[in-house]
Amino acid sequence: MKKRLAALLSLSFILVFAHIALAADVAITSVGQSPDGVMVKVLMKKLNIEPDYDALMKAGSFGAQKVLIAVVGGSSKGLGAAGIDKEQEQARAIALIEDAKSKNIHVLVMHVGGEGRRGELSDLFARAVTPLGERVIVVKSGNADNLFGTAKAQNAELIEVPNIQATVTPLKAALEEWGAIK
Amino acid sequence: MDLNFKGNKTTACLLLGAALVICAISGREFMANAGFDDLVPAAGFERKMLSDYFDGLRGSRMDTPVFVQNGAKSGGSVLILGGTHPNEPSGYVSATLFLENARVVKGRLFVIPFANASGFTNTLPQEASPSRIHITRSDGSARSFRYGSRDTSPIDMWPTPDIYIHKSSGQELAGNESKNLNRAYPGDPNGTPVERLAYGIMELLRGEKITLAFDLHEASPEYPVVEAIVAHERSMELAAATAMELIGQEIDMRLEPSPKNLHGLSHREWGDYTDTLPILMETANPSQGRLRGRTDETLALTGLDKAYAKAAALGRLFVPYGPDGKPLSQRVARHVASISAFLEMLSLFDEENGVTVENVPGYEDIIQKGVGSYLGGIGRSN
Repeated sequence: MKKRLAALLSLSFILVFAHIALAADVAITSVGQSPDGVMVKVLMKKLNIEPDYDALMKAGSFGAQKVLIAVVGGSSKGLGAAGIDKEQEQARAIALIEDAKSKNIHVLVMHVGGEGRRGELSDLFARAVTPLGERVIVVKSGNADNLFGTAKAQNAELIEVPNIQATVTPLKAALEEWGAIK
Repeated sequence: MDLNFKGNKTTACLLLGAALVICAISGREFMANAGFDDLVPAAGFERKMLSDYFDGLRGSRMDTPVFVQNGAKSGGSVLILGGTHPNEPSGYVSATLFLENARVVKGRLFVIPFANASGFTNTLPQEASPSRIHITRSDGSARSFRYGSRDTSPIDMWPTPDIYIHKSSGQELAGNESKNLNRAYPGDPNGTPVERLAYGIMELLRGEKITLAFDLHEASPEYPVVEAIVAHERSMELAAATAMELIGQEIDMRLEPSPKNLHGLSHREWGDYTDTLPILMETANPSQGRLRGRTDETLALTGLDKAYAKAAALGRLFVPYGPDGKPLSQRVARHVASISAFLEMLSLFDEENGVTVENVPGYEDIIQKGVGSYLGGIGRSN
C-alpha cells in the first residue's frame, strides 16, 4: 500500500512538474473564438516564442505563465464549433483573465482583425475584456471609433499599429518588460 | 369585361404550334448547356477524368475533367477545385486562370475547373440568373462560361427529399442540400449522384496524396463569412500565416475556423477523412445576394447594384462596397492572390512538400488588365 502511494505521489510530482516545465511563459487565448489568436501565435514565431495556445483556456489552468494574451474577435462559426454561446464565452474569458490577475500574470488584450473583425459580436467581447487588460494593442482600422480607448482601464496603455505585422514591436516590448523574453 | 371566345380546331392547332415553338426554343437553350465549356490548358497539363479515380462516375453526367501538371522538381501536390457551386463564377474562372497560365516548377498541380458538372447544365429556378457570362479578352474576343446552379441538376437528382440526412454524421439539413456537393463529403461510392461525385473527389485527394487543397466559392456580401478563408484546424496555422501575408499586400481575407460539428463540407471532411490541408475561400458576389435587383450578366460581371450600395451606406454588409461594386476581375484576383500566398507559405512551413508555380498573375495585374487578359483564345465565342 505504501509502495503504491509512493508511486502515485511520484507520478503526480512528475506530472505537475512536467506540466510546469512544458508550460510556456506566454499563454494565448481567443475571446470570441475567431482564429485571430492563431495569427498572434504565428507572429510569435518571429520572436522565437512558442506560446501555449488554447482558444478555450479556462480559469485554473495556468502553470508558470507570466503573460496571458487575450485576442479579441467574435466568430459565429468559431462559437458554433466550440459548442458555446456568446454569454458562455464572455463568462469564460472574464473568469480566465481575473484568475490571471489574481496570480500576478500580466494581461495583454489584442485586437488584430482590423475593421473586418468588428461588429456586434466582436464589440460585445471587446467591451467585456478590454477594461481588464494591463495593456491593449490594436490594429488601427479596428479602432476607428476609439472603442478600445474608451473601454480600457484608466491606467492601461493603448497602442495602435497600422497592421497585424506591426504588432510585433509593441508585443516584443511588452513581453520583455514582463519577463517573458530574456 | 365579358370575354366570349369559343375555341375551334384552328385555335387549338395554333396554341399547340405556339407551345411547340416555345418548347423548341427553350429546349434548344437547355441542350446548349450540355458538355463542358472550352478550356485552353497551359503547356504541360495532362487531362484526366475524375472517373479515373473512381470508376463509379464513368459515363455519368457527374464525371468531370481533372488536369494535372508535374514540375521538374519533386515536392508536394496542390488541388484547385472550382465550380463546386456553378453559380459562383469567381471560383471556376480562378481555377481556369491557373489552368491556362500555370507553369509548375516544383511539385504537382491538379485543377478541376467544373467540379459539379451537372450543376453547370441548368440554373436555379426562380433566381432569374443569366445562363452565361462573357469575359472580354485583351484582343477584344470573348470567352464564355456557363452560369449554372448551386445544386446538382434535377435531371440527375429528383425528387428532392423534405429533409437531407448526411450519411456519415446523421446531421439533418433542408432537403435541397441533398443536391449540394459541399454538403455531400465524404461521399458514398454507392450513394446518390452527388455523393458519388464527392467520393470521387475524396479518392483523388487520397490517391494523389494532395498536400493542400482549395475549394473556391462566392457568397453574398451580407453573409458574415465572405472575403474569407475557412480553415480546418490542421490548416489553421498555414492559413493564419497566409492571411497575414495577404494583409501585407493590402488584401483583407477574414480567417474563420471550420466548425467541427457542421458536416458534409469540404473544409471539414477533406481534413477529417484525408491527409490534405483543406482550405475553402469565399469572395463577395452581389448576384447571389438577397438584396439584389435585376439579375443579369452585367451584375455577375460588375457586382454593381444600387441596393447593395444602399446596404453598404447603412453598414449592413460584411465587406467594403464602393462605387466600383465587386467586379469579377477583383473577385478572381482575390482568389488567385490568396492561392499564390498559400503556396508561398506552404514552401516556408514545409519545404519538402512545397509547390512552386510560376507565370500566375498578381492581384494588381488582374485588376488592372482584367481577368480576360489571362484567359486563352479559343477561336470562337459561344
